[in-house]
Amino acid sequence: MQRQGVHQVFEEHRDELLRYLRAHGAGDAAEDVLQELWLKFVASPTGPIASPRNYLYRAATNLMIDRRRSLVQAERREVEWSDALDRLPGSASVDPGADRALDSRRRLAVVEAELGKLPARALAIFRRHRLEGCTQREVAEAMGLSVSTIEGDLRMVYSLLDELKRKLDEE
Amino acid sequence: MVMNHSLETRETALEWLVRTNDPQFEEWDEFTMWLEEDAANAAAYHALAASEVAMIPLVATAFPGPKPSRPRFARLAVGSAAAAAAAAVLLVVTPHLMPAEYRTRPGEIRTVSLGGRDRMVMNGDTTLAVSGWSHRTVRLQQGQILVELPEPGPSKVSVVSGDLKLVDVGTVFEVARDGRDTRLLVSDGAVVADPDGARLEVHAGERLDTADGAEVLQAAATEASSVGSFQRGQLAYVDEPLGHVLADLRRSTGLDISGAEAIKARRFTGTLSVTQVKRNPRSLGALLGLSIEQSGRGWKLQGRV
Repeated sequence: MQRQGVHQVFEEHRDELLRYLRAHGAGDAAEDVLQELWLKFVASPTGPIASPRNYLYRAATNLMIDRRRSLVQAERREVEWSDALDRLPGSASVDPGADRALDSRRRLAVVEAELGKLPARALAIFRRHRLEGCTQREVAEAMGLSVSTIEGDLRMVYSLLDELKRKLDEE
Repeated sequence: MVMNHSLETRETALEWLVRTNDPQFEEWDEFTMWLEEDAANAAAYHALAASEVAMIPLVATAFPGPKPSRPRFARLAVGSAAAAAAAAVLLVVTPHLMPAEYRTRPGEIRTVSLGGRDRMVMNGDTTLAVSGWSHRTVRLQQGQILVELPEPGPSKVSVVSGDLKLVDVGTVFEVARDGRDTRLLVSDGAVVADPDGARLEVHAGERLDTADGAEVLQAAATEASSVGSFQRGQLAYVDEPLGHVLADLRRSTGLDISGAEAIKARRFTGTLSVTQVKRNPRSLGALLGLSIEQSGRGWKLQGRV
C-alpha cells in the first residue's frame, strides 16, 4: 500500500472512527486515541489489507479495550505488585517472590476447576476461535456445527470467564 | 469499581462481544449505534471484554491445546557455531500466569525491574507483557527495549518478538519490533535466538535482523556501542536502513516522522540527538541528507529533488 493511499484511507474514515471511539467512552481522549490509531495504521504490516475499514475498526476496538482495562486497573491498583517491579534498579523486594508463585498456582487450580465444568465442546470452540484465531465460520465447518451453536457456546464461555475473573479479583 | 449492569444489558453486551470478536465481523455502524444508545452499554461490553482478555492466558495454560496453532519452522542457523549454543540453553518453563502489561507513550522512557539488578528499559511507543512464574518472560508486541542482565542466574529471561524467541546467556541486548520485523543487537555476553529450533548464538558486537516467518536466521557484525543508545537520548547508527531509523525516531521523539517508500532502504551512519530533533524536526533533513516537509501534524522525508 502506498503511503499516500494509507493517508487517504485514514482521512476517509476519520469522522466515523472518532464517533466510534466516543461511543466507546473515549471522551476528551478520543483525538489522542485516534492519533494512536493512525500511528498503528502507518506501522501496520505492509501488503494488501483486504478491508482497511475493518482493520481500522478492529484496531480501534482493541485500543479502547486496552485503554479502559488499564484505566480500571489503575483505579483498583490491581497490579499493586507490578508497581513494585517498576522501582529503580537496586531497590529491595522487586521480586514477586514465592508468595506470588503460590498464589498463581492456586489461581490456576481455580480456573482449571471452574472451566472443567464447561462442556468440552464449548471449551474446544473457544480455543479454536480465540487462541488459534479461526473465524466462527471456520470453526463451525471444522466441527460440523452451525454458526449459531458456535455463538451460543462462546456466550456461555465469555460469561463464565467474566464471573471467574470477578471471583479472582475479589480474593 | 464493580458496576451493576442490568442483566439484560449484560446479555446484549455478551452477544456483541461474541459478534465483534469474530475476525469476519463488519457491522460496525450497527455496533456504534448500540454503544451510543446508552453509556451503560459500552460499560457492560468493556467489562466483559476486559475479563475475557485477562483470562485468555490462564485458559491457554490450564488447557493446553493438542498442538501449537502453527507449525514451528525448522529454522536453520547460518554461520555461527550453533552446536556450541546447545549447552547454554536452559529449558525455560514459563506458563503465562497473569501477565502484567506495560505500555509507553511515544517519547516516554520507562525502566522495569526484572528482579535483582536485572532490568529492562522501554523506549517510547512500546507495548509488552511480562509473564511467567517469576515474571521473566517478556513478550514484545511493538517497540524497542534494552535488556540488562548483569547477574546471570538460574532463571533465564526470555524475550518473545512475534514468532522469534530469544534467551539470554548473561548479557546486555536491545530488541526492536516494528510490524513483523525484529532487530536484535547484543553489546555484552550472548543471546540464543530460537532456542527450540535454529539455536543461533548471537554474540556481543553482533546483530540479527529477521521477520516473522523467516526460515533462516543469520547474525551479522554491528557496532556494539550503539546498543541502548536511545536510553541516553542519542541514536547511534552504522549503516542502518532509514526505515529503522525513522521507526526509532517516532518512538523516541513522539513525533509523527515518516518517509517516502523510496528512501527507506537507504542507509544512514551517524548519531542523532533526540532533543535536537524534537526541538527542530526540520533539522533532520540536513542530518539525513533528505528533504523534509511538514504534513498535517507530522513530518515527511523525501529524496532530494
